[in-house]
Order: sequence, then C-alpha cells, then structure tokens
Amino acid sequence: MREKQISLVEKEIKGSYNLFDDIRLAYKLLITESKKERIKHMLRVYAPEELYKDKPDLSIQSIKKSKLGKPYSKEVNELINKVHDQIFQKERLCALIKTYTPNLARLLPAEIIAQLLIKAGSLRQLAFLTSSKLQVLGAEKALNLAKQKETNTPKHGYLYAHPKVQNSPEPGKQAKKIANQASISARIDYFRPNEELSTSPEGLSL
Amino acid sequence: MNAPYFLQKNNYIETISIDSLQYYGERVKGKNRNWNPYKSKLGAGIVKGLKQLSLTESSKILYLGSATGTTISHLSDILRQGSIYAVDISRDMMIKCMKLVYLRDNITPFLLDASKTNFTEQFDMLFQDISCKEQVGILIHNSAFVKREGSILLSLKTQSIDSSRPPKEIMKEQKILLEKEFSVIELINLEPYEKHHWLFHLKKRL
Repeated sequence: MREKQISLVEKEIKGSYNLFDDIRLAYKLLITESKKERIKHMLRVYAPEELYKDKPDLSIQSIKKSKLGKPYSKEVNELINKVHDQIFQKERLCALIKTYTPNLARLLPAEIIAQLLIKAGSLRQLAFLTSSKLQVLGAEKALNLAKQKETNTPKHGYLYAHPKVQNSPEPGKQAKKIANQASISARIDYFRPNEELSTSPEGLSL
Repeated sequence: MNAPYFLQKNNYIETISIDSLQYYGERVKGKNRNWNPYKSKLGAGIVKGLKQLSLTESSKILYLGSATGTTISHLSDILRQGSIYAVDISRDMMIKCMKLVYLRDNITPFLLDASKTNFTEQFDMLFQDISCKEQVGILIHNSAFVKREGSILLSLKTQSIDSSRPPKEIMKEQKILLEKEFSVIELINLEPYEKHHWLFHLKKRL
C-alpha cells in the first residue's frame, strides 16, 4: 500500500507543473550571476532528485529519468544549451509573460510583472490584491518601519523601475496611476472568459 | 517523554538511528543524532518538559504539516516497526521530504489539504503543526482518526490567528474552544525556542 501511495504522490507532483513555474524559473535565470546557482535553479524544476546528490548533474538523461521533475519535452534541449545566454532568457521571459498575462504585458515591462507575480504567489492572489497594496509591493521593509514609527508610508515598490515613474516629476502620483490600471488588467487576465481574448495581439482595451 | 532509542540530558536530546544519516545539518556522533529544539516544535516541547507522552516501538502517528521532514526524521528513528503518515499541501516542500521517504521505509507521504483528509485507519498519536487561521477546526476534524486513549498534540501559532492582539489573550480563547472536545493534560510555552507558540497535549473526553 505504501509503494502505491508513493507512486501516486509522484504522479501528482509531475502533473502539477504549470506556466507559472516556467516564469519563475526564467526570471531567476535572468537575475542570478553565478553559473552554479543557475544550474541549481534549472534542476529544481526539471530533476529535483539530482539535488540530493553531492555532485548534481544537468543532462537530458537525468531529466528523462527523474520521477519528481517536470515531464520531458523538446524545448528542454534548447534551454540546456542556452542556460548562460542572457539575451535568450530575456526574450523567453517576455514571450512567456505575453501568453500568461496578455493585458498586463501591454502596461508593464516583463521583469516587473514577474517580480509582482512571484511576490504575490500566483495570478489569482495578484488579481485579488487592492491597487494600493499592489503599489507598495516589494517595499515591505519600508512599509513595516513606517507603520511602527507612524511616519509616511512608501509610495512605490517594484513599480519604481518603470520608465514612466522614473521620468516623471511626481513619481508617487505616477506610480498610483499605474497601480490602478495594473490591478484592473490583472483581474481581466485572471477572469478571462475564453481563450480567444488571450490569443488576440491587442488584448482587451481598458 | 518515554520512548525507545531516545536519550535526554537536561537540554540535550538525541535519537539513535539505524543509518548514521545527517539530514538537516544536525550534529551526528556515531549513530546518535542531536535533536535541535530550535528547528523542531516537538523537540522544543520535550526540552521544556513534556513528561506524560509515551511512544512505543510500533505505534502509528498521523503528522499534519510535515514540511521538509526535520521532526519526522527523528520520529522515524524511534518507531522502527511502526509507521508515520506525513501530510502536507505544498508541492515544493513535499519534493524535499521525498529524499527521506526513499531512505526510510516507515514513512508514507500524502499530498493533501489537511482539512479534507479521510483515513480508514486508527492512529495512536496525532501531531499538528499548521500555521493557518482554522487550526483548531482542522484538529477537531482529524481527531476522528485517533484511538480512544491516543494522545493529541497541537502546536498553536497565535500570530496566524490575529497579529494585532496580545498572544496570551488569543491562546486563552482557543483553549476554551479546545476544552469543549478534549481534556488538556499539559500546556507548554515554547518561548526561548519559538516566539508566540504554545504546545497543547490533549486527550479525548470519554
């Protein structure tokens, strides 16, 4: 009975990988600098058992063998060859974000969306956030300090990297404007009624 | 605590394993593994004086919220002919726990929501370590799978119920809820090892 249960858990783990995991992996490959860490990020998705060993090995054979990793597909070949290629990773992240959140992708750069998604936990949790919370996402340290000392709260978190915010004379007001639009478009992305909207190049007009 | 393969000297506790395995960076001397109370809530409870709990070599345990399996690794040392059912909802935590599952044959994994469990067996002991708002409700639901004289352990995290009120006040409220169903045998504050945590040792009302 125990072996049956173990194989059932392995099946459940294998089936639970989705697009969000790909986005998290693509973002982490983009920001990490050391080559060892990049390979560890790859293994965490495609062959987690290799991390138990002293000398983890990233190869197609170990991915095909793995019981807990993401199932093998033809894209993996290209991904392994270009793990350290930064330009390829950035293009891949943009393409993934466009299919996952088409409306949000028109408003914000792909890296900011990836940061927001990872911090919130999932697209569902991002869609259910208030826009004032979305505005200060990523500035938790400053927010908690301000709450303790009863001083002014921060005006922008991850949204500070947006070019519109940086170039405007009033960055706080601009961040508030963008956060309002972003929270609406995140909700449209999550509650998409059918697949036609997600594949259209223009998305929904706000 | 009374258990086989278990040693205690004041604040220093350890278990004796079959294989001298180092699982989470603990100190290992021969086959004796040090049980770190800063990383395990059951370990902290034993150090602070959990006396009336007794485990035998062949008892069955239902463990809710197993996470990466630090506490389970010590329990599997003690129960050489018994078995542990490890329940957790998170896929990423379960992947780390599977390393232990492949090494020891007395652990069975379950990738489940703890509030929706359904077992046909009866257990000698139930341990719950889940940080969510309905901690007591989940415990009452799962206590149906425990034998009449079995012991029930709950590590209550008051911060996940309400972080704005004083923790002692919340603990007293939850204690009144628990006393409707169970009789409280021991109540331990885990203060130097874990902040805002209490360990309840309960038994069913006959």
